[in-house]
Amino acid sequence: MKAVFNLLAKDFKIEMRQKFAVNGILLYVFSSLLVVRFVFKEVTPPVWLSIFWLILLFAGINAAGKNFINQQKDSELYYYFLTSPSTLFTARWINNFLSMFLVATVHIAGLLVFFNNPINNIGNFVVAVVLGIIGFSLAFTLIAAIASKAQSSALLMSLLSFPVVIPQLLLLVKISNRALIGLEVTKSINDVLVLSSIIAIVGALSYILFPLVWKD
Amino acid sequence: MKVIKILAIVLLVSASVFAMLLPLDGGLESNSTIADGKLQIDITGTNTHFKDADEVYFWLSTNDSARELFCPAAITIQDNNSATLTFKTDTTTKPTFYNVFASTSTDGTMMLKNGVFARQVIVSADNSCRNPLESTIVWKFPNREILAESIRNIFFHVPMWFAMMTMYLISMVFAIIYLVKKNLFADYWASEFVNTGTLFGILGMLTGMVWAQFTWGKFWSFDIKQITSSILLMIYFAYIILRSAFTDPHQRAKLSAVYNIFAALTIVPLIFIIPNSSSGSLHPGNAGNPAFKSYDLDNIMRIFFYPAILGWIFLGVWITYLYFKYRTLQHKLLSR
Repeated sequence: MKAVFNLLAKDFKIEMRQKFAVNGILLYVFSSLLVVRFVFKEVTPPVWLSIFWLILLFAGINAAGKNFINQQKDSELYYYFLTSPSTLFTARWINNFLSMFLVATVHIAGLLVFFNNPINNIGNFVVAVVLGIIGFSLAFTLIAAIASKAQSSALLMSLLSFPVVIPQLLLLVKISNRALIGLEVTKSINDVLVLSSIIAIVGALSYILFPLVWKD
Repeated sequence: MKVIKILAIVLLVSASVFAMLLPLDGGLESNSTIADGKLQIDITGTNTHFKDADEVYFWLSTNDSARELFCPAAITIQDNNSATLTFKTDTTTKPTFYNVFASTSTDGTMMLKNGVFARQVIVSADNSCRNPLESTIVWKFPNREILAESIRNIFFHVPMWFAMMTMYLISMVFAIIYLVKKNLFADYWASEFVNTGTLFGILGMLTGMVWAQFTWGKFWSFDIKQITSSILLMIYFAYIILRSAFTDPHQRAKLSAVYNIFAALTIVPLIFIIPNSSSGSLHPGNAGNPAFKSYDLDNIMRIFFYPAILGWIFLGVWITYLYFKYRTLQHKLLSR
């Protein structure tokens, strides 16, 4: 646990010094929103929802990719001597989760400022977003580890992660769509359960498979 | 391997030949005209034996709960596939739908639901025209509304998906074997099974699209199962691209094995859970639609359906085996 915390503190310090990853992602979200604002003067709830999930998905892929791909090859070996793979996985996952959480917060704020507010049940929407961030960050942590081994990792990252998270995304869109209409979470409890079980499977699988990917 | 090859040929050839050659059950079509108080119905049958059969009966019934019965005043049979019925009608009452029935001693009883829309037909005195007979032809496929002859596609479209699923699952098993034993040959098996599975997936998609054009009217109608299965294919295309991104064979084997296991586990939510819980689907067996099993897949079809599935799976194993041997030879040449 202490090792996880130390790794996170290390990443945080590097981020504070360079201010590259977070600023880059925020700029990405902002410029995408700006383009969308130019194209659509007003948006209907379904369009709002699709803009929200699309930008969140690609910003998340970029954020998760940065954490791994910016590592130098030798530092991988260094961590291997210091900690266990499961510790490293947990640290990376929390890192991804936090950066995606930041992205989502800024993104929602941006959407509310640029467009109207179509959310009629905030509790339901927050459940969908949090579940989505947990599921995405778990899947992206493993995929980023796979992609970082290849030459053209940034391309491979989006290529591999996009189809893998679509099952989650289909359910998330259903749940968050109900939030826009104004229904309670209890109305979509079945979908939430299915989504949670998918996330649990993805998480367990990433945790088991990560040690295999990480060693060279 | 020899057994699998022979079984693949025998099962596939027999199932496909019977699937294409067995006749369909009789079906009816009707065209009605009304002239001076008489309703004339021209019946066109497919695979029927109006003339050759020993006994032929025709009648109408209303579509409501009363199920009133109406016998024709006159029947003229032109040939095996066409007959003309004449009924007397009452002009004072409002028109309704009628089901058309035909029953012959060869074809059994056939029904055309809501086949005729006409004014009230006058009830004839005797009800002896209703005589539902059993068919004497055993080897035939059911004739369903909308599906008609395209029901034979069930022997090609559905087995493709079964074969694809089997190939992907075997591939996952070989991926696990690679991760445990670090044997490159297991990796060759895994990658070739994915290639064959993807081939079956594409064929399943194409046969499905042809069927959809006939039954739903469009090649692609964004049915939830069409979407999820194309996503599944995308995941495995990503696997194939992932393999081409590495040059070191062991690194490629390890990373693609990990992705393979990840991909195989998305099959379950994509093909089984999400289509079933979604609100609208055109596929049978999804979103509350009745499955083929419950009404369309009768016993005669089952006799050819299960061999067809096994035959395609064995053919897939055979194709994979050939590619595996090719890869092994390549491996030997390169490592000499």
